[in-house]
Amino acid sequence: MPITPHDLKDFAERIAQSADETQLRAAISRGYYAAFHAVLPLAARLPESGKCLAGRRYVSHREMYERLVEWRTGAVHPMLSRMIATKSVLARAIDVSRFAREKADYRIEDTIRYADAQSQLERTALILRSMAQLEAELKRGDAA
Amino acid sequence: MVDVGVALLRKATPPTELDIRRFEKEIEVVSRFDPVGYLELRAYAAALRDQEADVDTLFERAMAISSQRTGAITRYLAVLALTARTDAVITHFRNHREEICNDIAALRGAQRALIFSGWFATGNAVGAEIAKRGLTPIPTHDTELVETLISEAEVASAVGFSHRFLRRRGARAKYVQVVLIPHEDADPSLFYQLGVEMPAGELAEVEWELFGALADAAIPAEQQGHVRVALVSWDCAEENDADHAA
Repeated sequence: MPITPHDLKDFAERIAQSADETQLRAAISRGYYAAFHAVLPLAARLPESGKCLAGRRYVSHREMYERLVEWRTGAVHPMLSRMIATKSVLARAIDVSRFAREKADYRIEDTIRYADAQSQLERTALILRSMAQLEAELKRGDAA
Repeated sequence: MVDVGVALLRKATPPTELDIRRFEKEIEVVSRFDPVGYLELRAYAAALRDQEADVDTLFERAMAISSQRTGAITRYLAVLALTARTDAVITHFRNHREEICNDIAALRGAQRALIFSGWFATGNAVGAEIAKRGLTPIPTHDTELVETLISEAEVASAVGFSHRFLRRRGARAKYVQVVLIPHEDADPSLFYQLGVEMPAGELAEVEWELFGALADAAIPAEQQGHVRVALVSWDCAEENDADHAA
């Protein structure tokens, strides 16, 4: 059965209530993937970035960030080219979310606290909200 | 009383006028029996009011006449870091490096202030000095691996910018932690997390605005993703095992 980015976010929020550090780390990781999958449909429609490895047919984590930075939106939707501020913030938010995920997954010698997980999940919520707003704006533009 | 000054500078929100006046009144007592200490305390009071020129004058005078000069140098460095005067932190450290290196407490204070302000490579070098003396420095978290790849000045510029952004928003970073994030297909990045005593939901909104401000600031290392600055909710009830507070 398919799931949505919101399912991932809801799951992350549930396990982030735990006092167990392993679950807090997992919540940070799932929070990132919720954000990643929320942005992926847009990123997949953007052209390959200048830094994309030749022959790569999927959008890697790094490539998603690069596509947001380059923001070559001409073929996707004319309204997107005006959303420079949105894309600058979104690119940083997804990058920071990924870094938090990498820290939680790979730096097991560092302590991850309850507040680290909460911060990541609030960031995830803003990324999801921003993507929903962006899509709604595009739809409004199409209808007008 | 210095502790009160530091506590006020480190408060999550700026001290109120009443807090500052109370502090200014309390330090008057010190003037009668410790004129040098009084100069430093007045410098703290000036820092609370963001009167940078007064901070500098008072600390310079205190350093010139204090019998505990290295302590005054270290406390000045901490005040510069806490008030987000990033460039002054490195200048002050370089001007007094020799004296700082002769005192282990000063080395520890310097490493905290440098890392807090984004001077990660200099902070690591100070950490190496601490380790040479058989003591445990703040861990590098592998950041030494990018000392030659990423401009320390640009990193400090991004971190300092973020501290000043927070201060303009009436918030303060309580601690800073930096770790190296490796990438499979690119050079590694530095990941700075500034711990702020604020509920996570509210802080995420502030962070969102910070991302926009950093984009406008156009600091090359930040623009290219070599350094990322994030805000992390800091609950003072939780223990901080890697204390990088200035």
